[in-house]
Amino acid sequence: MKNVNHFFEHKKILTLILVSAFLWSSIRIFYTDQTLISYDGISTLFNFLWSVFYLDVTPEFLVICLKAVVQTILYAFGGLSLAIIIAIPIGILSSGTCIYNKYVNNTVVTTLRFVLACTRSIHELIWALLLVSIIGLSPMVAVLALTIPYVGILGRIFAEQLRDVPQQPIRLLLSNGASYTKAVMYGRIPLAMPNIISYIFYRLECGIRSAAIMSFIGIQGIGYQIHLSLLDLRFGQVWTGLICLTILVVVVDAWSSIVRKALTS
Amino acid sequence: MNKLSDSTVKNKYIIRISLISSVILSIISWGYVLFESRYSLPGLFSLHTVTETKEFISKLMGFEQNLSLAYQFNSWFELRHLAFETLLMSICSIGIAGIIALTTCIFASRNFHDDTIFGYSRPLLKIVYFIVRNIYSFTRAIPELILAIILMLFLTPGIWVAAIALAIHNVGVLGKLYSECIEDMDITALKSLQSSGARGWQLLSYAVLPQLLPKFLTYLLYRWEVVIRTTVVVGLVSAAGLGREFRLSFSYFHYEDLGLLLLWYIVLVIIVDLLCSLLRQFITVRY
Repeated sequence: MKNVNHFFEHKKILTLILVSAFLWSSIRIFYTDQTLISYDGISTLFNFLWSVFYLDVTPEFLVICLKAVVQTILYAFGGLSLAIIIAIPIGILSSGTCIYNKYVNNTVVTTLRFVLACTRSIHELIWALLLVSIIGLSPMVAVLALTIPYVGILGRIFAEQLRDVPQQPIRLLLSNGASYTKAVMYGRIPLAMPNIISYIFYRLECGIRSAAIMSFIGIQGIGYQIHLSLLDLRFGQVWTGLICLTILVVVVDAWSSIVRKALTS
Repeated sequence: MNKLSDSTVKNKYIIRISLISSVILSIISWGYVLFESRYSLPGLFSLHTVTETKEFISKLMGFEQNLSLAYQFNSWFELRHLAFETLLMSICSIGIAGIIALTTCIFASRNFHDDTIFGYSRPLLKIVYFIVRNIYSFTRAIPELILAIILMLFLTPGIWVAAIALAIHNVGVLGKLYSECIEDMDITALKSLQSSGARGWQLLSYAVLPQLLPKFLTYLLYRWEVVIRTTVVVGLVSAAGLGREFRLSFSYFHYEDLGLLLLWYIVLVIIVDLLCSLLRQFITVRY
């Protein structure tokens, strides 16, 4: 055991591992892959970059973009709200704080953690592809596909936050005769609430980005508009869509950082 | 005293208004989603969906044609090249992103152009700060998938497209995290070096990096875990790694291959999680 600890103290080993992994992988890709830039690629690139100056700002397209932005926001909020509703009971159960019986608690915690890890490890677009082949193409798919991985992420964070609250108030409640469930209800949840809300607002931005890429399976939204304009090779419209998406994400980010600052002070 | 209570009241209002507005937005969005999918909603909560799901899962497992993993172990094992390609792609992209973010993050931190370190504000660096910050938020806002679709216009399909798309997105994410670290750092060492004549790059390598490198590496490993999950999605459009096979077997309705690919995907995610927790021991051992 001591030897192992000694091994991990050498920082040079870490540097060596990281640098050699990066060099090896890039050299490997460089030699196996074909030429980087496709035929006529450079002129297309300049064409694409130059069309920043030809943004499509006609009122019709701006209205389309605004509608798409609103759709993206709505899908993100729908998916996140359902994920929060599902993740709260799962998070409480998998925090291992509300069941008194030790064996029941251990089995519940390990199974729930495994389920959360599985839902978390698959990307939301893959979930969407799988769901489309089950329930067909509808806005429900976007919402459910957002919900499933976010339950995994939020459930884990809820469990961690509920476990890491200051222990003194909880012990006081338990010694005064409260049951484990009541200690969770009146002790742990109020104490962990600010952190949980701030994390949810942090995830909002990621949710919006995830909702935007649902375009790939044909769900409406700002990503869909960008994709369509790109297929038409109208680069001015593509840039307008990209700028709309950036403004949306920046605004949501600013909102969430204001809320988080208000929660911590 | 009066000022303090004012700010707490303000904070309370901010939190209350944002919570109420997000609840209202959620309700509106559910109304919208249910209205838009009104034809499929009765179908969603019916026996039909259950049987469809069962059928789909059994197809995915390959139970239909006796093609489950036990029968197909060889073909599963042959996919290891693709999985390996995907792993290389993720390492390469996170390496490029880390290098670019590490070299530019110092220009994107606020305390390098105002008077906290140098004692006077520097307008030229302020312009650089503005540009770099905006590039970060632009690349951060655009998802990897859309970046890959755009890059496919001028690059040949392959691993590089996916790696570059992932790298561009992660430059924004890592750069923002790094510059926030620099803004929150302890600047006494920085100030003493600066007063003895050190300048930009020297400050980065002798004052910022020794203090913040453990934090930076932790963020880098955390992003690697995220990147390995997204490689498959980027591979869907850029014809690289597991994503290409994923899309092909979806188009051919070869659901049993899809099951094998999903299994490889989960195996990759688990491998990267384990590697990250191993590498984190190097970082956390002294702190």
